[in-house]
Amino acid sequence: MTISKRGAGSVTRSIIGEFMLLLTVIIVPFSFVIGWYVFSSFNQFTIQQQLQSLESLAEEKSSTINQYIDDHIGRIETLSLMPVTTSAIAAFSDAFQTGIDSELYDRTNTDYAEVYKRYLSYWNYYDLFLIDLQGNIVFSIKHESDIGSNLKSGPYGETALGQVFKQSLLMLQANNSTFTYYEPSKEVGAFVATPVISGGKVIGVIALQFDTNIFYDVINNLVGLGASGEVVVGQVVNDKILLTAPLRHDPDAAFKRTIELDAVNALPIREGSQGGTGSDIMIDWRGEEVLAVWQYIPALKWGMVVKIDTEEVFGHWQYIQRNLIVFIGLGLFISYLLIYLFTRRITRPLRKLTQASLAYAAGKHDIQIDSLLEINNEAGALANAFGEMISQVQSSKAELEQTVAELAENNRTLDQRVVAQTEHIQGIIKYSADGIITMNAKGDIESVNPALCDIFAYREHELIGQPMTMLMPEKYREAHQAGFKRYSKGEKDFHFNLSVELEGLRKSGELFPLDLHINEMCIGSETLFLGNIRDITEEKTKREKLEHTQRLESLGILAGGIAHDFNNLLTAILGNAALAKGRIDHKSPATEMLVNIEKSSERAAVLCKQMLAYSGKGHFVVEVFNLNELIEEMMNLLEVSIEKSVMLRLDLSEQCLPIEADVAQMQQVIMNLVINASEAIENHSGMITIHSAVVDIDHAYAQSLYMENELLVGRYVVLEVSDTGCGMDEETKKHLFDPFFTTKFTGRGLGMSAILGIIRGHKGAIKVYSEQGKGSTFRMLFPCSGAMQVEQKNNIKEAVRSEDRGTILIVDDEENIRETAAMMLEDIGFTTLEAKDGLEGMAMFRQHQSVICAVLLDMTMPHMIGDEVFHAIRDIEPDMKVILSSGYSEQDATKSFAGKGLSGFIQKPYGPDDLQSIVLEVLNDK
Amino acid sequence: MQRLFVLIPAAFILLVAVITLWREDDLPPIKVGILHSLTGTMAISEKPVMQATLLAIEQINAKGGLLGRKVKAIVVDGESEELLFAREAERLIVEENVSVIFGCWTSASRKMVKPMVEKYNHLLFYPLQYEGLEQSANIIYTGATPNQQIIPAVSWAVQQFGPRIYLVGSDYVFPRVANWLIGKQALALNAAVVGERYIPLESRDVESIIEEIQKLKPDVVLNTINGDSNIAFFHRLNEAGITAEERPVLSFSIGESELTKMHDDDGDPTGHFAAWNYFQSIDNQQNRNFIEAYQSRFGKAQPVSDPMQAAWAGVHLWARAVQASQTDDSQVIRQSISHQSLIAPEGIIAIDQKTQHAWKTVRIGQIRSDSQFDILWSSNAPVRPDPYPALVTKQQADAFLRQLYDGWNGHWARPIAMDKAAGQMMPHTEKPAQAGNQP
Repeated sequence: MTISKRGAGSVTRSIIGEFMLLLTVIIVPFSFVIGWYVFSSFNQFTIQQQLQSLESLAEEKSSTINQYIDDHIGRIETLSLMPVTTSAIAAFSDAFQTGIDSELYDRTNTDYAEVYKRYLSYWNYYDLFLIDLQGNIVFSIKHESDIGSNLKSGPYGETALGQVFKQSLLMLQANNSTFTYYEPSKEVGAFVATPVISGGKVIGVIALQFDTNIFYDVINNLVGLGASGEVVVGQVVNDKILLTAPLRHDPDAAFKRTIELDAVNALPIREGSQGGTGSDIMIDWRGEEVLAVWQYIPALKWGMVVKIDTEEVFGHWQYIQRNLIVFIGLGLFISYLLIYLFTRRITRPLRKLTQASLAYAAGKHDIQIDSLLEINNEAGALANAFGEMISQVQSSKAELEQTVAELAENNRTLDQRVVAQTEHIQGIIKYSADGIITMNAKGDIESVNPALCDIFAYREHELIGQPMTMLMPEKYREAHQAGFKRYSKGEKDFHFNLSVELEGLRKSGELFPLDLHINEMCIGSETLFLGNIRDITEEKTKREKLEHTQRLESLGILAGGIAHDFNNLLTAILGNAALAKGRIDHKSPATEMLVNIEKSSERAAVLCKQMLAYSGKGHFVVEVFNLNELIEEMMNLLEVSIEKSVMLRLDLSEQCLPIEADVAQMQQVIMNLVINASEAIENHSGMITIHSAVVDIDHAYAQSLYMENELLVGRYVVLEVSDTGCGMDEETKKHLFDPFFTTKFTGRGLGMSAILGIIRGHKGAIKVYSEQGKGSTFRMLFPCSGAMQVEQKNNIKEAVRSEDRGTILIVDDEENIRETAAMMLEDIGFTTLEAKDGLEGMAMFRQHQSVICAVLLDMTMPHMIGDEVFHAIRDIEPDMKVILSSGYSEQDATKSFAGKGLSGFIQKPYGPDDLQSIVLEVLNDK
Repeated sequence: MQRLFVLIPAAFILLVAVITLWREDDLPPIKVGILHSLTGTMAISEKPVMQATLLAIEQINAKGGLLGRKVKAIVVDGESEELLFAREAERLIVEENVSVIFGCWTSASRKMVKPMVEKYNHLLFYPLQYEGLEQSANIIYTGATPNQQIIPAVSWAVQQFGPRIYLVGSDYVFPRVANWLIGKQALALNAAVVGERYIPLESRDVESIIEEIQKLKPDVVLNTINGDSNIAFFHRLNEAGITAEERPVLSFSIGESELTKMHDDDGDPTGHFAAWNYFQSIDNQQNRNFIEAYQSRFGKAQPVSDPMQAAWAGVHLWARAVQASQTDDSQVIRQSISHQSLIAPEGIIAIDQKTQHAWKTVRIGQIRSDSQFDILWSSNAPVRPDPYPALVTKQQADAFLRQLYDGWNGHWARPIAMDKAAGQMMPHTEKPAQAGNQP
């Protein structure tokens, strides 16, 4: 949930504002439209009402005026029908003939004037005329200048009186004139006239003159016209409107004031006086706006306007209008106020709530909502809910805070654990002896550990992001990329989680063997390849060494076994040949053959000896001597053994080089090496150097030597034979010490093997340096001996034949060995007993214990092996001389007899001399 | 919310507009009846009057009607049958609920409608000059009374042409009464009626009249023949070689409409005279407007005549009364109309308060060859209407009318059957004055 900042804090439009806007937009126009409508309706209504009342007034006044005229008409008609009138007209007509000054006229006047004067005063007329058919005014009461004049031909023919006279005769009816200035009367007057008919014939006309005053009362009656209203009457005279009655606003207007017909403000009276009727708001003669009703009064040809100033009519209306506006304004104000107050009632709690919310949001959590709860409406409910919410929130918050704290603690612990774990894992990776590398799906290196950097001799930054192939020899790269492509295409024929032995490429370009273990891992969507790389250079070397040693050992055992059996056979051959030579005449032709047998057998014995030397099981006669002396002694022999073109040089240490070794074997070693060197030089000229020295070797050096067992750290005598010969290729070097491996056509391949066996037998070591075409160096190390005494070996040769020197028990499983040995011993005076195995031997020994002085015991026999027999014999007679005979080297054979008082050892094959001397020596030793 | 601020005032304005417009349309029209003969012998004269009445109504409607209502004319054909006029008048009042009836030409039809409007206290506007001797509170007479046409004309004729008068007319109430009055006037003026002849309506048998005129040689012939008979009369007059200079004929029932037809039908009355309140040839703005409006509505060549103008003015006077009294109630209008006046084509027409007749200007014209009149004389100002001329008393007039009515077997015209029964085209030579003397 997101809460907009705008919603929480700044209220852009308040409820009060909305209501006010609503009021302004809706109610105000509504009020004004209603007000306007009511006002204009009432306005219109008022105008109509006022016009109606004016209309009524006008109708009343015109009725009154018409009534007046009708009354005049009626009166004159009445007068015309009265007999007095007909007789008067007739009388005056006649009298007039005599002249108005005549007596007759006077008399006639006296007769009728009084009657008419009564009517005149009664009806309030100005004058009364009698006119004869010729138009003569034969009678008038006032006797003005018109009396006696003729209305057809006289000066007053065109006056109003003249007109009504003519009209009366033409129409034969009563009629009236309009008001005009009447000269004889010197004032404005109007006339009403009617023909006087007597006996169906017109005899004259009777006319009455009246003035305007009688209408003024009507016109000046302003009842219903307020303060400003007036009645205007006028008639058209000479293209002007002549006002014919006084006005309220101009009492002297009657027959004095004129209004131009085309004047703008003449409209109502012009309309009326020209025959129109109507009503409207107009401008009157004063220029004031008036409500006017106008009519035409046909009898007088008058227009009449009844009017009232609009200002007066609407005066009270303007008051109402003002009040209306005030009421509307007041109503609106009160509405605004009420809405304001009402909405404030709603919004105040809301505002408080908002403030409370904002305060709460700002972190003030001890807010008081109690004051809000008093409000008893929706806002109160909201406040209530808000309060509820706040308390909920507060408790939730406390819980939340606790949870957060716990979570934080957990997080901390987890973090620590993660850090520890990470450190642990990083440490594992960092300190792993194996190189660890990750490669991404593009084939680039993602990460490496220090061990990997060490293995490939790169720095970390040189590897990161680089292609994996940079760590591979050229030969693998193509296959790697092809395999990678196949993997990208989805061919999952890869066997991960397997170790393979490959070669790596170091920064220096050096190739080295490594053990690679690849695995695939997916981290998120990313596939990474994890490689564990172990540099197995050392391991491989060791393994190879071990393999070699084991091979040598097994070869040694084989060679030893063969040599042992051969020696047994050769012992018999040599022994028998020697015995036979001694028993036959030395001139016999068989002697030469026996000598050849002996020579061949001895060569065979030398071969056996070499085999035993290789196997380390040769018969060692260990003595301490100076190696330099041995080499110097051998110089003559060596020089003849090598090619003439080869120069032999000695480079001997000046120090004494005491070693504890078998002299014969050392000679064999030197001889073999020198001869090999000579052969390596072949027919070229070259040099063979024999070098000797004393060195102290350390552990590292010891490691690099080609031996199965490590040399002990210490002082060693160095014997080095180097030549400038053809050298050796790698293959040759590899198999140099293998038995039966030879590069010579005639060689049997045992020379170097024997050398290695001898060196090993002396706990020494050998290292070969060779470069093809440049020669080879064979460096040998022998432990330097602490004793410097060099014993002189005494070769005692006692060829003495004694008689009955004692009985010797021969225990051997080989029959011909038993017989040969028996013959050899019997030759020198011993009696022999022969037993074919240990059991028989023990039986014979018990049987002949008293006579047996020595026992010749074979080491390896069926049923009871040599040491068992030995122990059994010693159990019976502890001082019994026991000579051990074996085809194995003395060391191997006497191992299990160490410290047990073995009297002597003779290595097979042996000749009669060897056996006789050792037996005599043993027996004499006692 | 903002949408509300727009919608509410908009709805309010719409409501006001709808109410205003609805009120306008809702008001029912003011129905008025027009009752004239659209068929029959009087159709030729009455149809143009009906049209003039319609024109006035259309003009009022064009200006927005009356009291915010339209005026709706219900035109009814009287078929030249006076009985039908009575029936249709009643129907208009009772069934159609008209506010007012404009109609009638002949006095016969008016006298049949008069009882109806009086019975229902309704209102009839009658546009024809007539014989007078009548005054009804329920009829507004916008045509001339005898003193507004016949009497001044007779006075004028006697002065102009001489005192020997010959009277000829159709045999129905108007010519009879008119000539009765002319007889009285002649006496008063010291003139003499040398002959008096009547022919039935629609009759063309004027031979004996022509012969009598030729024989009596009157100074002036006063003609009250109505309808087509005039064609025959003037045709025969011309045939007989009687010229206007020699024997001027002053007609009281030949207007512009009749002249056109007479010219077409070889009854040329050119040079003779007629008395009317209105002539088409009157030269003022009101008349020009009236003629233009009528002709643009009903045809360029259509003539306008006195009864048409009087009918047209009658409608406008009625309208003014409605406006002034703010109602179309016929009872109120009757009061209000007596204060109305109008600047009409003929001049000011004002309704006389006392008689409910119109103040009218009298005119005498000489017939031109183009069926128009040259106005020779005018009263200059509207003349007070006087249905009962000073020459006779009301009692005399009523008695005379009673005699006519009874003599025609309860008709206001001489029935044709009577003529046939009499077996002759009877020229009545009896003196109306004598008849008038009988109660």
